[in-house]
Amino acid sequence: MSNAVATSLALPLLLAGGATLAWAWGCGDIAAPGEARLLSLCIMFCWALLLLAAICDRAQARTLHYGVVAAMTGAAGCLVALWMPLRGAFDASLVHSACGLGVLTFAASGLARGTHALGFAWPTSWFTVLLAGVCCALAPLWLGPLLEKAVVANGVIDTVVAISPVSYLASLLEWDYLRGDWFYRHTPFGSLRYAYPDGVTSSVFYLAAGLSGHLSADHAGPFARLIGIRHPVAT
Amino acid sequence: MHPRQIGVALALSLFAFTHASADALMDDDLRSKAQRAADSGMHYLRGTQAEDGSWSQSVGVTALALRAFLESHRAYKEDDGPFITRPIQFILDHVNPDGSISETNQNRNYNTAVAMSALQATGDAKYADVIANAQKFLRGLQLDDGEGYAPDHKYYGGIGYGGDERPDLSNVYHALEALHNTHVDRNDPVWERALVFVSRSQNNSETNDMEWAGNDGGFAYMPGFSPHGGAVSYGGMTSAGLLSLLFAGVDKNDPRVQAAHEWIKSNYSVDNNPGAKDNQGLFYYYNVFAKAMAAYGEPEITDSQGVAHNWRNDLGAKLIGMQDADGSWVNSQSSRWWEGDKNLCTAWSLIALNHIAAK
Repeated sequence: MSNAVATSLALPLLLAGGATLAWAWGCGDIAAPGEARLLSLCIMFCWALLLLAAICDRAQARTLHYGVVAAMTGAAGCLVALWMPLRGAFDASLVHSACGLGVLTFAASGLARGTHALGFAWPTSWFTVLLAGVCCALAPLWLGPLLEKAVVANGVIDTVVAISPVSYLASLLEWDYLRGDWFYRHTPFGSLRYAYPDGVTSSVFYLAAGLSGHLSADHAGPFARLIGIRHPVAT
Repeated sequence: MHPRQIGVALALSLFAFTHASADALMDDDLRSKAQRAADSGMHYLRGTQAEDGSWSQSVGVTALALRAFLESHRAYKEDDGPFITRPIQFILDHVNPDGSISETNQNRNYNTAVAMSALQATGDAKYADVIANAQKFLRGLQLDDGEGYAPDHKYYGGIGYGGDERPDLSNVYHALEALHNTHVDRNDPVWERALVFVSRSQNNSETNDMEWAGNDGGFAYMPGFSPHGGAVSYGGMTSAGLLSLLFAGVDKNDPRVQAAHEWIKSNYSVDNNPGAKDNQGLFYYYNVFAKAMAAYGEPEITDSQGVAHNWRNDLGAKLIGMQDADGSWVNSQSSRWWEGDKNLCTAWSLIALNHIAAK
């Protein structure tokens, strides 16, 4: 994928993110917790889009240092974005979820670099990770009907919930989003027994995934070479 | 006839009448069978109880099973052994600082509500503080001005799972049952607010100010939505709605109560959960239907064809017929709403039988 294509893909992301953010900020001071949490997720979603669009076609993104800076910037920016409309309902869970967005940004940057090291052109690797992230995020939607039809163990249902980054952010927000209004109406999860992933465990998992992506791109070991990662990855 | 003889005759007549009325609630033979089925169900639950006293690793299922034992015709007490004391301890081990009683951040309303009713059913005053804190927790879940929901909001007065702020009638009914069983003052504003939400969940435009309201008198899952399509009324929620109205002290002649009862009469069934797809929530329906009809206080239901049904006989025979050889019950048609869990279905069936076979 050329940088021109990346730029053309980044533009819709920027527009979608900016428009959602403008809408969210235009909602005024939200007092109802249910609405506040839904709004939080919307803001985090559009903030993630803006962040991804901003860095997907940048050569500097291909370093560990940039991944860390992007994560910290993402978390701080998200906090500001959340503060604007939610200052009336601000609590620790919003800080946790903003940090969670930073963790996800770090994981995405690491996985993108790892994917790049496997031979994917840059920024195709970015969009591959983005696509995988979206598929995982929507897993409760597209796997839910299957889980309902097939009687499966609770562990399988919990896994489907856990692979969604939205579940990770929702668990940090302390919000059972799958039983929230929209998801309850459009997925069968409200009628299933499930548990959300532990926030700390998930954070460690995403950080480890991101770090392994960065490290494997920078210092390919025997295992990395075995699966095709070149050393060192040219930037 | 001597006046004393007349008095004795009148007394005997009155005794015979009241005795006959009690017996008419359910056939004696069927009552005996129902009690044997309950014994068999409790035997099953004794076998599936975990070492820590729980069932299905859930406060909710454990509390329902415990309540089934405590309210059974055996009237088990804490003195009867660890199979009663251990589940109580399991429940107490999951009391949280905010007053909720739950092993998880989800389902806190359901878990807390059924745990309160189970602790209350022990009759032991030492749980009064736990119950009082749980009452405060449930009150705090109710959506009102404090949470930014104005009285004209469709969710005003509702209670949700406890983590999502999206209320529904099932959660409200469980909370109201717990508050009713633990004797919360009828003047507490929680009842009045709850009635706003309950009324807005009913398909009764005469008493429901929401535009979506139909006119069949039944209840949907929440204002304007039913999991069985649109905002259709169905058996489980209509019984839950009727029971909620009665818990809140609404008179039996109130148009909301009458409309709900009319729906139940028109859709009378113990073979399925009327209005629900694929018999989803069947045992939930049996449980709440038995409680609602017992609370309503009529021994018979006359359906739309004019046929009178003794609902206790019908539901008792149905449950006895559906019991598996091991003493358990399970929804073999749909596992939705956890009804693939034998412990849950068995507990619900036992509580239903307790209401059916009670003299």
